[in-house]
Amino acid sequence: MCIRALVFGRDDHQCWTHYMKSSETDDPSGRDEDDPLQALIGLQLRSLYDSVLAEPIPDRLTELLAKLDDIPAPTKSGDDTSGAGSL
Amino acid sequence: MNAREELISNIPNLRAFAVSLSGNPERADDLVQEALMKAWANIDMFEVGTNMRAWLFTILRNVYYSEFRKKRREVEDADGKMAAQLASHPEQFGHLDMADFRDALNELAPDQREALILVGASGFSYDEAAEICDCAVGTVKSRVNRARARLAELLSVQSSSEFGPDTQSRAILSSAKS
Repeated sequence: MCIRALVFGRDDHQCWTHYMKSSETDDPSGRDEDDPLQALIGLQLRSLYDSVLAEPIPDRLTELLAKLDDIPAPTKSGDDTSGAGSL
Repeated sequence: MNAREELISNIPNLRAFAVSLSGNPERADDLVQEALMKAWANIDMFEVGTNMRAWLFTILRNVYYSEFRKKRREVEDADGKMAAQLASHPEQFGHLDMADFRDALNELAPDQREALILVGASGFSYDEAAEICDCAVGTVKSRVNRARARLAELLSVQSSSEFGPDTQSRAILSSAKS
């Protein structure tokens, strides 16, 4: 594949392909196991996403949700959030 | 779990989606806040028993496209800040660290980026992602494929001079096994 050749160079490609073949059953992303760069992209994407998932919820959001209790039962006319923004 | 508790339980996922979508943590929390307000105001439109996460993602996405893209220039100006923040705790992928990946992700067309995130990170099926993006399943698949191809291209160019197969393959291998 041209991308792999770009990344690793022709000489390294053989070695790389061989290396990945021995490990592809361990690839958690499943469908991209035949392409190491795609496997890496999948890992990076989830890593970035999970790093945010693991963060504590910012105070401003917990405070906002605490105040939701004080908001009267919502109605369909409550679609206008400009007023609610002043909470 | 009542609606409010369910909203709370979905905040981490909404934030992760918002950060991935906007590329900016502060903007992301504005997005989440706006989405939560809208969701709460329209909670009676949510059908109990259906997928609240998908419903919330749809709302957040609509907020992003209706309001936040107008501020695109500001977001772009803040990209350097985002990269710097991420670089302070890089993942161990050799030189291809999280800041490089973030940069590449930001290069993608927004529709491709969101499709990739929904399917590749948020854990939605193609069907669910299609519903969230209000498009056909085939369109989502095509966007995901184009996003992957474009990322591969960008990351290859970025790292062609420093991306050594020895350290890199070990990094992938150890990550894949962990």
